Amino acid sequence: MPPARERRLSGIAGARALRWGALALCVRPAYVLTEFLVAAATEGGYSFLSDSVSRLGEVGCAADYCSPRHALMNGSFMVFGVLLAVGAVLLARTLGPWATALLVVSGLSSVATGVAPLDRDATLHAIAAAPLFVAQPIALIVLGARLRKDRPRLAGALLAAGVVTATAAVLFVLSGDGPASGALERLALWPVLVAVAAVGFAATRLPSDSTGTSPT
Amino acid sequence: MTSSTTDDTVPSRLTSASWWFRAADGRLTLWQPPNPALCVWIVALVLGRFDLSAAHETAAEGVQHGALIVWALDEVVRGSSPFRRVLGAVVLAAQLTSLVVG
Repeated sequence: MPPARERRLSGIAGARALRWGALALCVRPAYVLTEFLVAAATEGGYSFLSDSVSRLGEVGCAADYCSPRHALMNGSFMVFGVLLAVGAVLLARTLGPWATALLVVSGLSSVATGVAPLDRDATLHAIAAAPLFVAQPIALIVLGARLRKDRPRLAGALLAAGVVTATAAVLFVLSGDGPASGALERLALWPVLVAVAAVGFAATRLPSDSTGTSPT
Repeated sequence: MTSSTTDDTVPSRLTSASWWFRAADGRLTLWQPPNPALCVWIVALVLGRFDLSAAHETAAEGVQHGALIVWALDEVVRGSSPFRRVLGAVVLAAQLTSLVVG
């Protein structure tokens, strides 16, 4: 194949990967809807402020609590985790190696969380979910540092989201089963959905090998 | 024409503190501000000191191991001085051993 034609085809494939990667990240905020759908069907009362997200995925039913749509919750952990990992890989040239690796780890952690429901093995569930709470905030901070020259406003928002989600993750672990643990967990998770979706949207307008320096 | 001096030989390099502790650009790299992996380890270490549930305590220990392994791998691969690479290798070996032994 002539080099010019090879370059053109490679460019088309790259643009296609960029679009699919951006789409994968942009649809992820829909995850929040699944939480509401599953919570609406719970029996015995579920609080977004005090109950953990993981309770929505509990497989078994007790006298005082049941989550009949647990399969939808655990399935969404897996589907949205795969979307994160695949989206990050497809946007790897824009995100850079560190952020890509951290987001892939986060996506796989989300998948593992769906495979290991809280009421089956609480320790296994905590180990599966831990990388998600660690890697996502760091990924946002790394992305913020990387995009500070090309997209200063987005970078500032990413850095702020990274600090807020990291702080919320630490407080969530410390709060145990406290009255605000559900709110803290969501503060650690939900902003990442929006922030990463914004990165996905912006990625289609960024240079593919963005390193945080303006092109000369 | 190039000439080699006795300073370049392996035995003399091994006994040179400068060779062990200085980066290629001459900076002393014995100690640097914590990188993200080390920050995560420190936070997980502090978290582990609190009264956590059994599941969270196990998860915090797992994060400590994971963060140290990432830090050690980073040092082994990208350590700025021989001392840092050796330190990374020692920490990596210790972490892997503790994971295997339990």
